[in-house]
Amino acid sequence: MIITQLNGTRVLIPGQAKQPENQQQALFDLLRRRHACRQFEHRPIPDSLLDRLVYAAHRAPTAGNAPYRFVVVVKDPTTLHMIRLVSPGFFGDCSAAIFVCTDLDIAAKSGRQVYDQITHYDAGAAAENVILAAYSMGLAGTFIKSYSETAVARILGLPETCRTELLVSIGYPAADELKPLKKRKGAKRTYADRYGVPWVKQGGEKEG
Amino acid sequence: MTKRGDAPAPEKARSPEEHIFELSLYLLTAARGCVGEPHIYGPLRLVDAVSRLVDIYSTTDLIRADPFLQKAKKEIDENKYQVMASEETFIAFMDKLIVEFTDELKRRSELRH
Repeated sequence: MIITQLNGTRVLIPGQAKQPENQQQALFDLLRRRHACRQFEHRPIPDSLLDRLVYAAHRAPTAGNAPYRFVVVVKDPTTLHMIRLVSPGFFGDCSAAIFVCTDLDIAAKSGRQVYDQITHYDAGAAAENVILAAYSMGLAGTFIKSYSETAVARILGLPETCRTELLVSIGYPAADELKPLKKRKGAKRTYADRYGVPWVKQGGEKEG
Repeated sequence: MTKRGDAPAPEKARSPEEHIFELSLYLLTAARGCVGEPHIYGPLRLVDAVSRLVDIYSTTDLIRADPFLQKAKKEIDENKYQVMASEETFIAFMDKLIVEFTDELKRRSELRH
């Protein structure tokens, strides 16, 4: 039961008290399930779900709210096949791919740091949003940067003033998907207040 | 969920000629990638190329499928991602493959003589 404000009046809403906790748990479950999936079922993804992935990508921030980021959704099997052929790091027959790209003309107006660095960070944020949204809907995928930028730009018909930042593969995970890799030793280094002082875990999520 | 391969196959090379072209493109883009990528990705791409090379059997009946190579392909596809977990494990895996291939080479040589 929760007390809330409705038209200035405090009211009791039964059964709502656990909602925030459930939402938190759902998010942390999602983070726990998130991994790099490279084996997929061969079935198409409904456009309604791709729309939600696009929404997730665009919810990520951009520096100064400048509109330099755009995404390209690839679901045409022939285009996807061509992309795979020029992407040595693209494993698995996924059903769609989302390229997070930067319009360099717009980014340039935001300054050198944005052009050279922040566009990459923002692309990473957008790609992570896509991945988390995908896992929340029973989809899976991974980030890919091992592709020929030259070849991909030609296949997608990108103008020279645009740059692909990251490729996100998307599909339904195969039932016999390989077990996710464990984090390498040292991958979870955390310091308290200053470098070298270990952060002492007090509780929170179980490691995994 | 269906298992891999139960659903209709995605677009793939339909002839050996197409396969050779596609493998060449893979090798070329992999070579370019090796310029800036982690060094261990070079060995990964070459090992992965062996797996991709074996795919040629699925494009033609003109050459007989080689069970040893098909088994090796399965082994490669199941282990190649180890490169991202532990380079040492991936290197040990390559050594294991080389031993298997060498033993197979010796077996084939003995059959020939």
